[in-house]
Amino acid sequence: MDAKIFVYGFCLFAIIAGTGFWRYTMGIDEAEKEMLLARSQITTVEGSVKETKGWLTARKEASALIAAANVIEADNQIIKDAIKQLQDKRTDLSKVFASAISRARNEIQGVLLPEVTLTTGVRLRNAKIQSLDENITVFQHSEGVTKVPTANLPADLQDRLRYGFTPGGGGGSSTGPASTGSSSSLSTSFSDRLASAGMNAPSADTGF
Amino acid sequence: MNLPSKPFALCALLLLPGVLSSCGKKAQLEAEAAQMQEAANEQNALLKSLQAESAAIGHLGQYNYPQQSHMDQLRTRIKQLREETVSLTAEKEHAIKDVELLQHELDDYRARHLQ
Repeated sequence: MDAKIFVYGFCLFAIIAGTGFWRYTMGIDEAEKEMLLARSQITTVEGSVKETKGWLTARKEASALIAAANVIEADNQIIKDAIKQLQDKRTDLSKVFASAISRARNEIQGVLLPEVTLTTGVRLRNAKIQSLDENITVFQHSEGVTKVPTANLPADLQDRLRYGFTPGGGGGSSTGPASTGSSSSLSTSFSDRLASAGMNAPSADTGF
Repeated sequence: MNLPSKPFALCALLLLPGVLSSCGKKAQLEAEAAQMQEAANEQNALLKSLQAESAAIGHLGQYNYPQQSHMDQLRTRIKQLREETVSLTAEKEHAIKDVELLQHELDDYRARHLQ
């Protein structure tokens, strides 16, 4: 009888223990699943973090490059504006220069010049300019009236009249001697023009 | 007393290692899972902060999702702009000299031929 009770008791205990153990192992499985899920989550998030870091670095770099390009572009625009202003100023100066030349040409007409020595060596005494244009200057002098080609005028008169000279060069930004027509370059310019016209000093005289 | 001790002892011997081996395993696994969950949460927070930082940069137009080719394109553009700066600076210097020369020549002309 005792043995039976003991066996039944033991069986009951074994059933209870087995059930408890089974439930316990089920709990372990669940915990293991949770851990695997958490591990999978962490792997996914770590991957996302890594990818986002990469994007962020690239976006920061791109943003910095865009900002730098904008800054340089703005600076370039400022320089372009300054160049435009300078070009406008140059155009204004050219107009003023042309006006000054025109005024100097008008003022010389009718003025008595005691002696005018042409490049041909001919001297005109008590000369007055009656009329002038780009090619011919008409002098009234003590010996009559003489038409003188512009190329044969003395250097100071040529410098004053500046025929064929475009203030500022007309080419925009050229500062070459020929374009500005500076005094030092004037003789060269005239020599070139003479040479290109096939003229020499003595034969160029038409009024003598 | 005739106890059936042999089979019971055998059963006990069979169950004991299982019980001992699984003793505390659940708690260990739960702790580990909690730790990992915490780490995942931290990484999530980091991810959100990175996304916020990225959003703070703003929309970059065609460079919003920059590739290597975009970077090369931007670097080339900056190089071109720098070259343009050098060229424009030279042009500006040239223009300044040009204006100065013309002004000087005009002053000379006026001094020589106009009162």
